[in-house]
Amino acid sequence: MMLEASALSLPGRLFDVSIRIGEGELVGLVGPNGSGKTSLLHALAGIGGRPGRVSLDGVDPRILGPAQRPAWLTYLPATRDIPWPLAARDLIALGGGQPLAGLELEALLDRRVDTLSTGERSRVLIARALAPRPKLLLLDEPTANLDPLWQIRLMELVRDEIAGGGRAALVAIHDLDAAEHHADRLLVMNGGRIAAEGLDGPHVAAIFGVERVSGRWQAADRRSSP
Amino acid sequence: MIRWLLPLLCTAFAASLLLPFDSLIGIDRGLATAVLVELRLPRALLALAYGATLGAAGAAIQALFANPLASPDLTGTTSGAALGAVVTAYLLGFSAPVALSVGAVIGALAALALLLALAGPKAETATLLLAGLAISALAGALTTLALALAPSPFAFYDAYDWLMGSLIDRSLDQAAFAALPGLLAILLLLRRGPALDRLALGEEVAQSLGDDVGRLRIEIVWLTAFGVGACVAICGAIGFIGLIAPIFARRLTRGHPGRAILPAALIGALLLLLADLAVRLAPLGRTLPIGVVTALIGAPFFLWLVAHMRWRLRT
Repeated sequence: MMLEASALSLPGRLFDVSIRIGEGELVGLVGPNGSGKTSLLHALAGIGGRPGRVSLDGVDPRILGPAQRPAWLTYLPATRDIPWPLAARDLIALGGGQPLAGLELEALLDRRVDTLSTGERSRVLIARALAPRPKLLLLDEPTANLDPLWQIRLMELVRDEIAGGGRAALVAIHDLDAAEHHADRLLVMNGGRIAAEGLDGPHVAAIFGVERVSGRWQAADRRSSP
Repeated sequence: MIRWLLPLLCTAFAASLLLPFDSLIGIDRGLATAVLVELRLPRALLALAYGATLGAAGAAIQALFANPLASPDLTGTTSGAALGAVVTAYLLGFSAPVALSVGAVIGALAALALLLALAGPKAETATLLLAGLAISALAGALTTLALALAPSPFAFYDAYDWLMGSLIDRSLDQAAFAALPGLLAILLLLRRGPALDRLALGEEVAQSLGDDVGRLRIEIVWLTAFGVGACVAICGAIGFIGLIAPIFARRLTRGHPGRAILPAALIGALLLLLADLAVRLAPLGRTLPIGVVTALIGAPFFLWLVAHMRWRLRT
């Protein structure tokens, strides 16, 4: 296993979570609002503390300083707000890398991020996270705000990126179909714990309140109505 | 950037020593030397050091709060320092420069800590400015109260020039008491520049990149209070340099807030040297307090900035 983490706890948000991710794996993280997806990503990225044990190729990347850390892991937050209006090129460079060609940012690089549309800004922020080409990508809702084509292209880009060897990705995602389609395996979170794997089984209706009826997701309580 | 800022700064410094020129020629050589070394040199050094400290501290505070309207004066830091110095000198009765510096640093620190507690590190502009305004008002009122309660009946008269900000009649020793802590604070702030740049990506991202944001925040607050406090203890509160210098400086760093600390220090020093020259050369018959000059230029600039930001938010 490339990533092995255990005893990840954050008071009131995350309870003794363990997670293992193999080389080249794209693992999806699904769960209702407030189920602990972001908290798990935070615990792995060392945001707001370093709970439990994390081993990425034998190293806890959370103790590394700014010079080394981006080569080990990067984190994309769910928010697309940037507190300080920098040019896109400078923002990506501050994250420690060169922008990838696959995101087609050439026309945006010299614009200030506060003048970009939300979708464009998302692509710039994603580029910042991908640019250092880290071993572990921690992405929180990377496809939010992207148009349908970019949603697909982004997930394929992430897939291509980690295929090179020695790399993996953990991606929190709300769209269950997209999660199922793009991820090698899905972890279902609920109440600050990893409750299940995959979306087949009765746990889905219990956790999400939705169920799949002839291939489409709908609210589970519909069943009782005529 | 340094290539043209540095010569400008040197020119302003030389002008500060040599102007007005006619009071140096045609007089006894020993007297001219005394004017140069004992009157003008400390004054020019103080303008240089205080301006640079305000510029660097302003850049660091703006980066920390991710807000271009934060500055040592608008956050109440300088008023807090002034209060600390006044209490130390007039109520506690310690008038040695070290005691004044310690009192001012404590006052500045208390003001910044209160601001962080009231507004929080991620405050909106309005919250930040209101909290800063409240702290400045409180510190100002307490300063007046301290002077009113002071045993010395001349306390008000005594403190007036100093409170308005003044670089005049300070000895070289006093200049060193402001300049050395100021310089040390600038050097240590410069080392935090890269981390402050990464903070521009947001607190979570900065943490994921390996920065200890909590510690960074405390360090910036300490260093700012230390540098600004030491300068206020010697020269009183001088406004608006810490607001304006970083705004110009970031035009030279493609907007990077941390990288702007060095140019902000240079621009701050240049601005205060120029303000002091204006005080000296203005044909008014008497000397204006330098704080009045920086406020007369700085306040309209601040108003323009607020209007500009409002206009930009609307469009």
